Amino acid sequence: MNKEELYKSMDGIDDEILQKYYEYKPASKIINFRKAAVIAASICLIVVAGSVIRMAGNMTVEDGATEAIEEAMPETAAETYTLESSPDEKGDDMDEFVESEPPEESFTTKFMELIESLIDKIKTLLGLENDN
Amino acid sequence: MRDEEIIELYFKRDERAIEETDNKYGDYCASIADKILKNELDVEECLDDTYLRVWNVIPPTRPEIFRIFIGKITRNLAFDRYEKFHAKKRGGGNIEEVLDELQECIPANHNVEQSILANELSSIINDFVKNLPEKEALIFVGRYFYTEDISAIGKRLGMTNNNVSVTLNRIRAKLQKRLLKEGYLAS
Repeated sequence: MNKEELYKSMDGIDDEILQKYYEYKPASKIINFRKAAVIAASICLIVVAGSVIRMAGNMTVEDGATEAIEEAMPETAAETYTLESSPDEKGDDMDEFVESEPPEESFTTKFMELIESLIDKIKTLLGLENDN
Repeated sequence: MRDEEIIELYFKRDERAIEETDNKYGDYCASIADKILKNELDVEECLDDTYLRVWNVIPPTRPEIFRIFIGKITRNLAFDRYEKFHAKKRGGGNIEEVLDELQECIPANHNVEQSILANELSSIINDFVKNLPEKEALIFVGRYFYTEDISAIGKRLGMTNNNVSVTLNRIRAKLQKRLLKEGYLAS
């Protein structure tokens, strides 16, 4: 037997193994792709979440401007009421302020929880929790 | 065009079969031949011979994996051409290195005469490769069937060149043991 005969004898290797060589994708490439996909998905979620939070914040300022000012600077607000409102009106407004609750805060919290759970689900789907 | 459709063209003796084969697998066959011949003109002639051979064997043969089928024909024809025209020139290229490495696998014993049946040797090699761990089998196939260089194998399999070389050394030692066990000795 010589080396040329040995080289020729490689012809007997099964087609499936030869095909596998062409189709092979290293695991590191797959993991890198998964990581890239998770990072991209996370960035998208953060951008969307940021936009929604900003929108919710704008609504809070527009709809509840008075309440926000009163909460931050009660003395200044009281002066404003003294100057601009009648005693009856002021009383009504204060009652409203005491009774009203900030719904936007709970919405934001829920939304953030939703985003977190979505990120967890994506990680689970892509099997990254075990990798890291 | 899908492989099955190309094979059907061969069965219908439609000459478009060769054109479609060249469109789909021309580059693939050329890369196999080029690693052995390292000469553009030889590669072109080898491809012509390949298409003629495929035309002559289909029908009656119906290949299961057309890519591998045509790749094997190209490799055989390229190596025959190499032996016929280039063996004395030794002009470099992967094939020289690959053959020298394979020489290491052949157990040296000139005192014992051995008659070697090519088919038997092929089936031993196939069995040897089947019993290797998957990654080692792929490295072996990349080097000794596709005649690829170390860096190309490393790139494809996501390994360093050094890692591929070390693994190949280990596989060659295993192959030598196996051939010795089977009674194959150097002639």
